[in-house]
Amino acid sequence: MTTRNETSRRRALKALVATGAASFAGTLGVSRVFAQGNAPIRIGVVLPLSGAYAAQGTAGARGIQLLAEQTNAKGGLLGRQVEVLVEDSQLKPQTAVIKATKLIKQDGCQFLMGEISGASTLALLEVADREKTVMVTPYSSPEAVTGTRGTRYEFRTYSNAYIQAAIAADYVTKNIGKKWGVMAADYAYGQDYSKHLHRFVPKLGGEIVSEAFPALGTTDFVSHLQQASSGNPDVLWMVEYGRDATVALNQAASMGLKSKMAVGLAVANTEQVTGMQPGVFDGTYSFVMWYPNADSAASRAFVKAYYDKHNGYSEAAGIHYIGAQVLFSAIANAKSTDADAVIAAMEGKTFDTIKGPILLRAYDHQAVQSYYIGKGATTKDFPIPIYEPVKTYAADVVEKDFMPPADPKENPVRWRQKS
Amino acid sequence: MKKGRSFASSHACIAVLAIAWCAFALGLAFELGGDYAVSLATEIVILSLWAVSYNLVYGYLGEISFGHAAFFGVGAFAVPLLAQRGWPFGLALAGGFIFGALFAAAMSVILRRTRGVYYAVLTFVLAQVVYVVAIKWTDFTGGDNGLPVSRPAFLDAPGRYALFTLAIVTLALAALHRAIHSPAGHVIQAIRQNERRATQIGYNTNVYRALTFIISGAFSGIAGALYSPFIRFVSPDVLFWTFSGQVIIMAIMGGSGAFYGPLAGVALFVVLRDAISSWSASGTVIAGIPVARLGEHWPLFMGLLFFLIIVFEPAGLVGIFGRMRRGWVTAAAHAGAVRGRRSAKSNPGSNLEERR
Repeated sequence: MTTRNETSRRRALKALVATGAASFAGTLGVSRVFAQGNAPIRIGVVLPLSGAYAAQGTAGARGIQLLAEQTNAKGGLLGRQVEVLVEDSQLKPQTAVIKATKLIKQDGCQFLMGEISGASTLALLEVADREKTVMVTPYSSPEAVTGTRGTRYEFRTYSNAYIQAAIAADYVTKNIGKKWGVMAADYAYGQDYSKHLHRFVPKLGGEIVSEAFPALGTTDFVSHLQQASSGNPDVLWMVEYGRDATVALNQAASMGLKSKMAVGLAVANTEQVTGMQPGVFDGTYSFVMWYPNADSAASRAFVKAYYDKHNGYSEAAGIHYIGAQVLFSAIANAKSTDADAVIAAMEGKTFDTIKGPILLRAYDHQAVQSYYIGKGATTKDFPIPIYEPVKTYAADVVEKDFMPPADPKENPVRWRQKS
Repeated sequence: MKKGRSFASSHACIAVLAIAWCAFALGLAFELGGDYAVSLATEIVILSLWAVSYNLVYGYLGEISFGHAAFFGVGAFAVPLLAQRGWPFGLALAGGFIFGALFAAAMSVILRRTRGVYYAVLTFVLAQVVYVVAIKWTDFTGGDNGLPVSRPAFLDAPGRYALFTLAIVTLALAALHRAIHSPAGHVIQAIRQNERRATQIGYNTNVYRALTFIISGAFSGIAGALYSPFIRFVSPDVLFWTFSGQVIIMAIMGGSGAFYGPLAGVALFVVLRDAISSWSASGTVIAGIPVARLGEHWPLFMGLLFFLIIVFEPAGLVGIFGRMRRGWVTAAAHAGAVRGRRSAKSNPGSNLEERR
């Protein structure tokens, strides 16, 4: 009896192995081809919908969705509908990679957009490169994205740490004061940013008198703020983003630092200052790419459409909308969803967006555009606290003086070196 | 496990079953879901090795380690860092094993006299030290920006890498299975049951404890070394304590009382995580419908399930399988009694029953 039992078990196992092997072998080498024709153009979006940047990620996804809806209402792109598929990266690079792979391989997305976290963006570059999928990064700062870790398939419509630091250094040193106190988040972005400040500030005759490096996700900045504001600096510049920026700015205000020195944040963002008291926000400086109070008809139309749909104002949504505008126009110009055709339609071309023209530099695929230094204000003209432009840096000035040069020695680009 | 013969055959049986299961899963993945399903299956296979090696410490030695992300992460970083220095891929993988073992050896020196809660806290702290060093040492590890990881050309296709991973993990699991069912493995279980008694019998329990930890760390290192070329990227995220938490949850959900328990836990965890978090992916999240938004909160569902398992079936999925099987075996025995078949008693029980 035992023998019979053994044999039947063995036979079952054999059958199991055989089924597995057969089904495996049967599909080896079969690549999945997605129908072209009138099938929708699919844009895969990977953003953090949970975790510390959830507010920005959700708003960003809404921005891209809004443009897709508007485009579809006008007949779509190349006569095809645009479908936006959003996946949550959970603010983890590994998850971002898995989700992006899913969007491309399973859902058949021809294009990729994301991320906010620098680490996730850099991880996504490997996916874009491997899958030969054009990727647009609307909202991520590491220079490596369009530099040492860049790929031919990646285009960034945002600024980077170099640009942000160069413009901040220029404005502050020339207009506010020469003594800097710097508080930078202790991770790659904050370290890069502060490295650049150390380069630019002394060149302009300024000096960094005090520095502090709080960890990412710090909840009590008081000791760091004390350290960064020691030595009586003229400005306290906080290289923090998101929730950290909210907490840091609130604590700086409650410590009374705002009455002793100018206070600024490395980048502007509506989500990080939402619900802030006017006494905290007003008068603080920031580096701005676009803000909901931007003074142009196209921008006002976007802000209104977004408000009608989501009953709010969001900088992150606008920035992602801009990134999507660039990608959609490029697809329209290329008259194709083929990656090489779209790259050719993007490299060195200028695109009209709600913030004005954006040029995608051919050398490294980094956007060339105007920026401004803004000063926080609560006005009657706009329902939320805004950054009023105090100095605008035009695109040509930015390209000439405030960007990493298009030079392989000073600004090596990975994919340029390969070929 | 009492008779030599049934011991050997149960070995072979489990090994064959495991391989068959994996092959079947991979085949099914190719059949149904294409490349994406293959990448999920690969993730399951890699994390399975990690969870099983973790279970060496948790299930067999009976200590909770909150620091296993350190070994996994060290293995994951070993591959790109060694590749930068010109090591071929195979050696870089072995480097994951070696560095996992070295880090575990260093930790076990510090852990020598700690037990219970102190063990948990100390493993947590030591692993966080590794994380902090990795995130601050930007020049070496890339800091938060991480490092890209390349694969050799012949492993570039997802299917090939899946098979490669499967082969290595199967070998590693077989080695772990052999180790845990060796006489030394039995000493380790004896230590869990009563360390004082094991000492009295004459075993140097500290040596056995350290050995378990080092083996566990080394195999976690291999898992990590397979993981970073799979993702093609590595950042200090994989060293963070929440990542250690995941492996604990996977091991407990699957069932820490059985060798193959964590495998089931990993499969459940990965599939569920993917299924729930894709609720929000259909775009419905944008419409702001609360139900669709729940997809972002997949840890909530995972937590609830984890809670239910702990309360109702602490032996995890294996315990649930065991119940089903006992029910089935009893029914079969009942029917078979008429025909004179062997009773449920002589049927080799699950590992869980043996160990109770």
